Amino acid sequence: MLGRVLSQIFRFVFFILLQGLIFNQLNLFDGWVNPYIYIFAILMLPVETSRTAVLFIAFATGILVDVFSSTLGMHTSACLFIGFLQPLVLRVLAPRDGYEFGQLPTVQEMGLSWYLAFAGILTVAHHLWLFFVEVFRFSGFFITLFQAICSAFGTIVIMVIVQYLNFRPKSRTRS
Amino acid sequence: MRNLIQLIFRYHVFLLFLLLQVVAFALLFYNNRYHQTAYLSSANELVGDLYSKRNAVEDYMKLSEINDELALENALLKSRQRRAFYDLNENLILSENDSLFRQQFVYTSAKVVNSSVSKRQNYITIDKGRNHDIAPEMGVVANNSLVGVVKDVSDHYAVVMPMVNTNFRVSVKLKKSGEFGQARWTGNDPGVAEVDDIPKHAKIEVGDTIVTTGYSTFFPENVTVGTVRTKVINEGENFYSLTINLSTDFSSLSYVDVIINLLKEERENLEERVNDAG
Repeated sequence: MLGRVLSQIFRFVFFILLQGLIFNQLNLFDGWVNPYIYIFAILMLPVETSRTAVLFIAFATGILVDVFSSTLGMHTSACLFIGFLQPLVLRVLAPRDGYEFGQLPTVQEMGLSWYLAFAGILTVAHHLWLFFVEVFRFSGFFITLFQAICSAFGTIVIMVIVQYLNFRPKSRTRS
Repeated sequence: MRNLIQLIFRYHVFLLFLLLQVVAFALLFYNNRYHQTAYLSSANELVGDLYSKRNAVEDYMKLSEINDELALENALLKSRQRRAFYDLNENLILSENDSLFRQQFVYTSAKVVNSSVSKRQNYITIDKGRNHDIAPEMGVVANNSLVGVVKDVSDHYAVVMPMVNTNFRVSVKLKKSGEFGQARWTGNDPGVAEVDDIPKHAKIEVGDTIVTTGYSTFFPENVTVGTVRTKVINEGENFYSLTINLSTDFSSLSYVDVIINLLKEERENLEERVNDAG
C-alpha cells in the first residue's frame, strides 16, 4: 500500500516537473497545440480515491503548475474542475460489475477505447475551462474553442503514448 | 438547521469544489493585478534554480556546435605543430626555402556523416571533399590514432576506407623496438586486427604499442594503431601472428582529421624515377 502511495507521489511530482520544465516551452504547430500533460497526475488516481481527496490533489497540482508558468489561479481552477468531474466520469463509464479494488484508470487495465472516452472527456473539459479562463472573454469564441480542442488532442496522444512506453502490462487475470 | 447540515453533508464535495474554485479565482485576480510582485511567480527561488538547471541542459545540447568549432581549431593548431613540419635543418640541407622548417603535414578536421562497422567492407563518409583540398590516398586519423585512407572524393564529401575493411593494409612497427610488419582487419570484431611479418626474434609483450611506420606517404610516423592483444608463433614459421586491439573506436567515431602530405608528390616522383631507371 505504502509503495503504491509512494509511486503515485513520484508520478505526481514527475508529471508536474515534466510540464513545468519541458511542455510549457512547447508550442507545436504555430502555437495551436499546447499539451498540458500534467493532468495525467489527476487522471492516474486509483478509482477508489475519495472525491474530497481528488479535489485536494487537483488543487495542489494546479497550484504547482501555476507557480511554474506564473499564471496563478488559472491551472488551479481548471484542475479543480476536472477533479470534480473525474469521479463522475468514472461512475458513468463504470463496467457492468463495477471496478476492482485498486484498479488504475490506464490503457493496460481498462482497454484503449475505455481510456480514450475517459481521458477524452476530462482532457477536453480541462482544456476548454483553462483556455476560456485564460482569455477570460467570449469574443473570439471559436478560435479559443479550436485551440482548446487541438491542444486536448495533443495531450491525449501524448498520454496514451506515455502509457505504452511506461507501464508494463499487469499479469493480473481479469474476470 | 438539521436540514441545512444534511444538505451540506450531502453536497459537501460540490461545496468544497465551489470553495476551492473561489480560492483559485481569488488567486487569479490577485495575481493578475500584481503579478510583478507575485509571491509564487517563476522568479521564485526554487523554480529559478530549476530553470537554471534546464539552461545547463540546453547548453549541453549545443555542445555539438561547440565541438565543430573546437575540432576546426585543433586541426589548425596541429598544422602548426612541430611534428607537422619537415625538418630541413636535420641533414643540413639548405634550400632556397629560407626557414628552418618546411611544413609537411596539414590536418583538416572533418565530421563523420556515415559509417558502418558491421560489414566486412566497411566505409566511412566524411563531410569534406575536393573543395577542401582532399584527394584519394590521404591518411585519416582521429586523436592521433589511425582511422583509414581516403578512397574517393566528391566536391563536398569523401569516402574513407577504414582499418575495419578487409581490403585495408597498413605497414606498422613496434613502437618500442621498431620491427615492422603489416596490419589488416580480421573481419568480424571492429576492435581487433592482425599483424603479420614481424620476425620472431623481436621481443614483444602483450600491451605493446603498434604504430605506423612512415614508409607510406599516407601517414606520418608514429600514428597509433593499437596495442598487442595476443602473440603466437605458428609451428615452423619465422614470423609472429599478432592480434591487436585497435586504438580507434570505430563504432563511435564522430570527428576525424584528414592528413594532407605536402611532400608526397616530390617523394613519389623520386621513387618512381629510381624504379624506372632500375
